[in-house]
Amino acid sequence: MKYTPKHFEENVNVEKTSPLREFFLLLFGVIGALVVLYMALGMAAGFVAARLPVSTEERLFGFFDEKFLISEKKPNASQIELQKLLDRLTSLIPQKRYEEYNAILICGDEVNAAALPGGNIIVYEGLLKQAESENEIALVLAHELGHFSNRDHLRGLGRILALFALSAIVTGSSSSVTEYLGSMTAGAEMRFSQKQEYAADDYGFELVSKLYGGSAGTSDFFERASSKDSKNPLVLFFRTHPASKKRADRIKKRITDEKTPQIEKTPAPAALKNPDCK
Amino acid sequence: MILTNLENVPGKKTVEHFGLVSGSTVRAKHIGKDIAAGLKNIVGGELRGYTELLQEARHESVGRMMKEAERMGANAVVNIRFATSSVTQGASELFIYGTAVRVE
Amino acid sequence: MESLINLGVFVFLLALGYLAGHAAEKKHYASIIAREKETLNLPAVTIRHVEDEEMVESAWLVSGSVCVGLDYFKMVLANLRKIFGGRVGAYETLVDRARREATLRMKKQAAGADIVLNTRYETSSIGQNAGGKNAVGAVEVLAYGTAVIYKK
Repeated sequence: MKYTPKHFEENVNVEKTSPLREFFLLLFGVIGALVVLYMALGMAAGFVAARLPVSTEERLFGFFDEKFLISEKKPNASQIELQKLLDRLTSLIPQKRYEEYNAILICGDEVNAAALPGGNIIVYEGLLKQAESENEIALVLAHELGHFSNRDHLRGLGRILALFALSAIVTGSSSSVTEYLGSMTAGAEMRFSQKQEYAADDYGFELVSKLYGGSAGTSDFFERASSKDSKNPLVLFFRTHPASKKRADRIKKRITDEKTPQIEKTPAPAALKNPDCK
Repeated sequence: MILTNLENVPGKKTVEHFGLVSGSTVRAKHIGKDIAAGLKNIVGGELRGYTELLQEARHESVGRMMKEAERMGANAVVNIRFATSSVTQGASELFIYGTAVRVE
Repeated sequence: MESLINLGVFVFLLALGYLAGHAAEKKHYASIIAREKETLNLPAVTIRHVEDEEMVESAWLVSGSVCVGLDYFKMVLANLRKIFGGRVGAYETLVDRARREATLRMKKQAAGADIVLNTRYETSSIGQNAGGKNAVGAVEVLAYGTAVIYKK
């Protein structure tokens, strides 16, 4: 038996693809698949959220009340004044979704407020300090009530839960990726869409106009916010309430168009003007 | 191309050999099949996803070995051996090797 | 901030793994091809059959083994590939290099022989749950056979 030596430079056992190209293709594939899955989950969460009965919502998110919010609620003058203002607003709502609405004052210089499940509205100390009139604070509260009315708060939370579930499945629950995603997106996710914000603005505008018999002070908050956030686009992106300038203009347009009665702004009570956060 | 795992091709005379030829591949199934196999593992039985994976891998590595033998000018591969190994979880490595020969 | 550092470390390891791993692989392949050409006249075959028993002068067992590790980039690449399924190219070069290197080391032991008969390969992955999260991604190949010198 004769032996004929043969040697080939080309290797049949190795695929001739660039590993870098494969890496980026796969990476984009994964990201794309995650985005699609996330959007689908988000849409499903939104669908469920909009139809979730209040009793189920309270059972699901009861921990917000018990663990997180009640401990923050301090029986001081500022807290009581804030709750009083909210009660005045909620008494005007024709169809109440929740039996009681809670306003909770949170310490911190952030100028922000948010609607949480179970009829809870958190307002940051910084927002009250900035406010010049009671009308302005009332608009912020009424705006958040608008989110409740449209159930926006549950859609946002649904997406966050979906994201966490997804990240936990793919990378493991305690991984740094999950943490990273959580810290990056929780803020962005609490942000509602422009459409949702406009709807809540309209709701707030109507409710406050009804309370005071006029629309004075309703655009103040956004005007002040727009002079601050217009500089840095990143800040704008991660703010929970975006594009204040546009929103201020929208409300101002409504004020002029609808010719609501001219009224004096109600000065904010001292307890709200100088919030006591202890 | 004649493939056997005997010393020779029965009924034919081996006239020339070209040394070792081999074909190998590493393949994986997508994550859905992995999850399905994990679930199936609770009750036992054939894990179809992984059976399929092995078949694909075998098919491909045999093909590669034949390609190698062909370009050497061989018309048969004798004394073929299969070897499988799990280089990593969820991926299957299939290695096949034999001696490329020319028979008459 | 901590998560950003983690991300930075990850990207750094990825880049380091790619550059170093790519260079090492290129060098290894060049060396493999050069040595394969040198040992081309010593065939290794899977046949056991010796044409004529009388012709054999001496025979001895030869073996060669090698353990080749994976770089970080390829490990990530393989893990990504496992999500979609298909050919895991990152591991293919790994096992190919390991096999050829083991064969060459076996042939080195068989220096002076005319042929290596009945060549066999054994592959194993080193380390508990190899390829798993905290394991060393490596493949070990053992090649063995019988070296034979024919009477001249």
